[in-house]
Amino acid sequence: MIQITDVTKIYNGPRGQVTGLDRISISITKGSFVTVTGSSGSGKTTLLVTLGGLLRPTTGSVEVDGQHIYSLKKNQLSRYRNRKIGFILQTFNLIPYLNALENVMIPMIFASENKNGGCHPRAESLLERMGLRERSLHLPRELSIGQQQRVAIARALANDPDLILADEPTGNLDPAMAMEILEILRKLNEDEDKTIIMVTHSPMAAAFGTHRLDLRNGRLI
Amino acid sequence: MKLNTIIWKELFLRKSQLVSALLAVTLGIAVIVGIQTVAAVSEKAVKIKMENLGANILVLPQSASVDDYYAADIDAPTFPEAYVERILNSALSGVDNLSPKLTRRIDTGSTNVVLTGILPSGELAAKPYWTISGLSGEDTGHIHKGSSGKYADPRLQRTAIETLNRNDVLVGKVVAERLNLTEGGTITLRNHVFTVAGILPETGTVDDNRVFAHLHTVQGILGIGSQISCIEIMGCCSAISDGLLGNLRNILPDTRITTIGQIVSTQIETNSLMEKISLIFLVIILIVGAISIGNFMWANVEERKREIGTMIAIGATRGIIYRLFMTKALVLGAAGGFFGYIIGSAGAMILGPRLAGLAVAPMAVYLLYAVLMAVLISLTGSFIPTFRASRLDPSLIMQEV
Ligand SMILES: Nc1ncnc2c1ncn2[C@@H]1O[C@H](COP(=O)(O)OP(=O)(O)OP(=O)(O)O)[C@@H](O)[C@H]1O
Ligand SMILES: [Mg+2]
Repeated sequence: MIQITDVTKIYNGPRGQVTGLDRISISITKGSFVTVTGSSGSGKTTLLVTLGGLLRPTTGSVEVDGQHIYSLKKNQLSRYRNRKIGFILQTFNLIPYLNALENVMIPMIFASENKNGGCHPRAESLLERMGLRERSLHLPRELSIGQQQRVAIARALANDPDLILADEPTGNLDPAMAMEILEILRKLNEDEDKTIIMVTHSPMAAAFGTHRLDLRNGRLI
Repeated sequence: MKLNTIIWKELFLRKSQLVSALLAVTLGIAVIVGIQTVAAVSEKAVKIKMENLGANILVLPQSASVDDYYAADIDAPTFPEAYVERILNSALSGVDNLSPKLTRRIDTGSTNVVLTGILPSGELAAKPYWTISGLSGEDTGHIHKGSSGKYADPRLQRTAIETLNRNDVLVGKVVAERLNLTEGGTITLRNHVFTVAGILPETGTVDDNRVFAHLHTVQGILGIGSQISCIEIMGCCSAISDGLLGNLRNILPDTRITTIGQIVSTQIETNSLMEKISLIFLVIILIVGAISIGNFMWANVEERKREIGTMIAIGATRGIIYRLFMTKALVLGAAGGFFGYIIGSAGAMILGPRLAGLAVAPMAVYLLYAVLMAVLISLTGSFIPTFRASRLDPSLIMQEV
């Protein structure tokens, strides 16, 4: 259960203040597949990073399972993101000099604080689930765009998070690959009851959601 | 996989940057190691030379300065010759040899001569151990001359003066040339005619400028009763540190006792100059090395902003970011120190014989110092970039590239 109450985000940029989010309140129940739509600059990404514990709102509160996440200390918040949230981004953000397997293992290493290296089998099975068993030792640049996004999804699932936040995960993919990714997300939502919040521009992708949020100028409509 | 895998794989991504960042530290450490290695060898050489030169403890009159010892002015203070007996009777251990001296600069009419009265060892040899150890310059067995004895400079080996007739003088090479003296000739000093019994080989020390005569004769012609201006003592090094000086001071409370280490010799001066240069280099290296590593790390953080942001977003704590960058700094420092040591030692081995005339062997302890210092430099220089990395805003990963 995610509850955000009266959240406003004002960016203090060098060229004055910009309102990213304007008094937003939403509650999202566990197991929902929420899609977030809206025109460019409407605040979709801002909402997602605020939900993800990456950006402290100017005012308002973000509660996850009763926990005010922004009252956590920085390191606690890092650990919270590490265990509870999987991020999938439009630009994948894979570490370029690590192979697919190693990229998937990173959140596990962070979770174990480097104490054990026993995350190998899980990383392999995640890649296998993404259909990338043969590619596990390849560097990101040696993979197709769609494959890279699947590695990113495997990485997002590394610590078996409850919540998956995706910012235009299909934005860089052709329709066939986009469909593939969306199917994966739907399966995660349906089979594993993962809560998914996905920002998208495409009506086709938005149709995958069980709930829909529409933003305009930082406000919900 | 562990965190170190990430560090290791990233390390070799930008090789040319890596090399140039390490250059300052490596070369700096190389210079310091080179200087220190040569200096250490040279110091050893000085020690051996000092032993060869003879006295390493000087007993001077209370009011005398070390300068007086060299200047030998007419009114330079003196003390009784009987003090020699006091030392001999005390049977102090570590006193291998001693020679009382009375030194005076006197006018020969045409020029100045430094006349030094010495007591030949034959006359001091009432005590058996006295003869065994001989006069200054003999190997007393306490000195390690290096296996091959390569530092033993024959010019510096004094030969024992066993006997010296009352009317004979031994003349230093330089004086002999200046006054045109030859063996068997004569020289008149203060109306006393001396026979030149020998010309001393050149030593490169003050001895070259001196005329040596029998102590008692010198005392006579100068009219200075049984007084002497100094006692040179050959004390063994370990005995000196074990309190020989203190014991001597107890026996001869109204004198000034000093070691040759406190006396300025050119070689020691050179060494201390080297040390100073080395120290200045050290400071420069600390600063330049830290800045160059810091610069590299700063650029590294700048380039990896997105990657670091991603890591923080997916759960890297500050501690993990610190470990990523500080471990990298540690590896860089250790590598810089290691290569610096290799280059510096090689440089010392190649240049040492040419510049200082010394055979130089690499000193293993400096490897430890070099690595420790380079690591310190690297960690210091990397601290600010790492601090910055740990505080990067993870939300920037959502921005498009
Ligand atoms: N770091 C920032 N500093 C200043 N203003 C910002 C910053 N990030 C976003 N904004 C502004 O906040 C508003 C919302 O931005 P946001 O990125 O959330 O939009 P978006 O809906 O994700 O747009 P897009 O569909 O183009 O990704 C925009 O007007 C944007 O210019
Ligand atoms: Mg956006």
